[in-house]
Amino acid sequence: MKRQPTDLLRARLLALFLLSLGAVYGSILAWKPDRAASLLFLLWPPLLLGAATLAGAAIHERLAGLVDANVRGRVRAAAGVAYGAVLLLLGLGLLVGHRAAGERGLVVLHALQAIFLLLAGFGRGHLGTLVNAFALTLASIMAGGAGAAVSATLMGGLLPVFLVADHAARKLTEHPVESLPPAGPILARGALQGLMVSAALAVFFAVVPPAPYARLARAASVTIPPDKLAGLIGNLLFLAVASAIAFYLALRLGGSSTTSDEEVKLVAHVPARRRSQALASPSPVDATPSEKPWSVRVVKLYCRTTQQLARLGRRRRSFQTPREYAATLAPAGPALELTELFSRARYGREELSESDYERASRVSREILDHYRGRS
Amino acid sequence: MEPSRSTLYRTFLLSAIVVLALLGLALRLPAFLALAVAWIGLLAASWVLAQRSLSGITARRELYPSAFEGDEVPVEIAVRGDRGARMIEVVDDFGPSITVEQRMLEPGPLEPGMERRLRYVSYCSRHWGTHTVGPIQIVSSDPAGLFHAGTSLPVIEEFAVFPQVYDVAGLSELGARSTLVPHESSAGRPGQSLLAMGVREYRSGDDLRRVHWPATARRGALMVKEVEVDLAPYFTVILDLDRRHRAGMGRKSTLEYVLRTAASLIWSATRAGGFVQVAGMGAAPLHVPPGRGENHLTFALYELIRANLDGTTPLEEVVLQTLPIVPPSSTVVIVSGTLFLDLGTTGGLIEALRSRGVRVAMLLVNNFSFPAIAGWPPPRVEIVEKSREVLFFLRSRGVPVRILEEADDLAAALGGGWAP
Repeated sequence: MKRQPTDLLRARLLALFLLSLGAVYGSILAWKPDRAASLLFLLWPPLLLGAATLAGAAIHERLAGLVDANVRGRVRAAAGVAYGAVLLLLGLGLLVGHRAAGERGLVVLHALQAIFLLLAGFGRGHLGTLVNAFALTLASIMAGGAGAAVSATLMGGLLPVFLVADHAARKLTEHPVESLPPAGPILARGALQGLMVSAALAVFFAVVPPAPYARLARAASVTIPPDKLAGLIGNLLFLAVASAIAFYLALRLGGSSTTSDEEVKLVAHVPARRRSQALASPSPVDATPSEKPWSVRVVKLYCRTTQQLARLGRRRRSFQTPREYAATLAPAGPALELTELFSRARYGREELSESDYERASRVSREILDHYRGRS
Repeated sequence: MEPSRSTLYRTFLLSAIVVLALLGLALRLPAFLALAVAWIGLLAASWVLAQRSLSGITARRELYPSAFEGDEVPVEIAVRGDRGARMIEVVDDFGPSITVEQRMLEPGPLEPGMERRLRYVSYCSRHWGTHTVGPIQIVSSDPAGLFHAGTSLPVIEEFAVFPQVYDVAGLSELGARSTLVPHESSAGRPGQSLLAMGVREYRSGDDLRRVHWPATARRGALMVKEVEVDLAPYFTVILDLDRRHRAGMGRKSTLEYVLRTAASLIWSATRAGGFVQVAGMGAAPLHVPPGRGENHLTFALYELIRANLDGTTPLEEVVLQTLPIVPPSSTVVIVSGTLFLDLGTTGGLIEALRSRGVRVAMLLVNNFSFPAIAGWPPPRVEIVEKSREVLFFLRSRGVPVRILEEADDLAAALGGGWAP
């Protein structure tokens, strides 16, 4: 029986939320430290990013199945070009020392951070979110000062935590594991790596305070006295911790499929059976009163599976043979096995047996669960 | 297929490091360089961790080494490590299945010296024969999944896939009845069976445990129980492995039909509780000595899947060579790869066997119903005429016979008895 690594999935979302929050807060502190003095102004990033992260997780599956993987690829490419243009304009503005352009560009990046979190299911994992957070960090570092140090330290340290949680969550979602390992030690390893990176960066910035980019420094900028700055950073940290706790509670109490507290049965392995042994009588739930031959049932099962896969974003293209289509699916083993059974049922002369149908049902479930369970 | 996200994230990190380094050098901002150096350190540590987690890991496979086509096969892999390891992927190559690669995850923690068992169930979807299982590959990565390291363990085993077998209905007509307890087939003459036949007077040497006390009391003399003798059916399967009868390809070939038919005969005869022996003459002689039970069946099937239609000895010659080892009152089933038998010689052999009380049956695979792979087949009229002649010849001598054609479904043909 396969179970969802719920704790790791939650940890991944939490790390992503904190990483985004760190990037946004860092950029605010670097570019508009005067605004950071207002607690009310500082409330919008955790609220917006938290809501976007939770909503993104909730609609992830629906979004992934909205259109064909090919169409998604094209949309991604177009969005990538548009996003690249935004970054180019912002970069040029910053390099020529146009502070106002930089500030306007940052507002766009803040909005994009929430959009990337919301539309994670449309892209390749959370790469867009990471790239945008990195862009925000770069902009913060160019502004220099405490904001740059906070931004770089948080980005440097939270990224390994996210990567470790993401890697473990993906592995355990993709592979059937009967008993899940405790999430604590896994996350502790990520946290240790993150702490080491953050500590190294913090020490460096303590010794060498981040200087602003010369051209930006010449432009008019708000300067905050050092005694007030400590208070601002304290406010930000307090809000970050409070919003992280609130976010975690929302995850625990939320009902989305990826954050559910229930341990979902995804794969139930049937015991191996020799052909010569009699089949166990099916349970009333499994019993199929129809008297159709097993081959017809296997063909219908294959068609149903491909229809459901299409809804999950894995549509079979008209030029693909069943085997070519199977090669694009995961897990590879069950996909090939289902295709083999379908080919035997559809084109073979030999009549399939009940055990073949059972096997087809099992592998079909495995494939569909793989795509439904991915978050 | 889309690249894995770990690879994407690694690419992102590497690109980010390049961007940071360029910006740091171009704009002379050490903060960029610091972040770049920190992430280079992270990548280096990840690479070292990925390599380290592989050291000292061993694995062994537990697998029953044979199965029939279409069977599900459970495989267990025991993994052991010298040092703690997590998230190890174990990849096994299961040759008999079309889905060769089986991936499993050992989530860990794999404590030093501790053995963890992983299990997968595969399916023999490939053709019968001997296939390879293994090697086992161990793939590991760092905690963030940025780098992967793999090693291949030479745990390679041979796995025999036996042809799918069908019950041969005609065998029961030849006297080999299928019974739940095979050893209870008995004959009405004194022996050591469990079936009582009657009582008789005690003779010197009789076992005292067989004394029938009520009858002794009535007769006033010692009386003993008499039981029937055990009689297990005795089968000899003679195969035609003459290379001249090769025709067709893959699952529709004479080799396939001859060997599947032989496997089904051996299977059915063994299930009926009989002693079974097999004889044939390919490039190497095929000889399975008499025996019964599941182990013998497995041995016979092992020998069978190694056989090929590569002999030069005619079937009649093989039957002649096998005659001395055919016990009297037993059953012989001859599987021929052609209809074009030398009827004169065949008739003589059948008479020789029948004179010893041997029941003979024949299964003839019509090699000319398969696409020819060498030479031209005779005209269809001639084949039809020959099949009529052979059927008449054999049936007139009381030999049950069945002709198997390329269009026949083997399961239905063998399950349908001797008619047509």
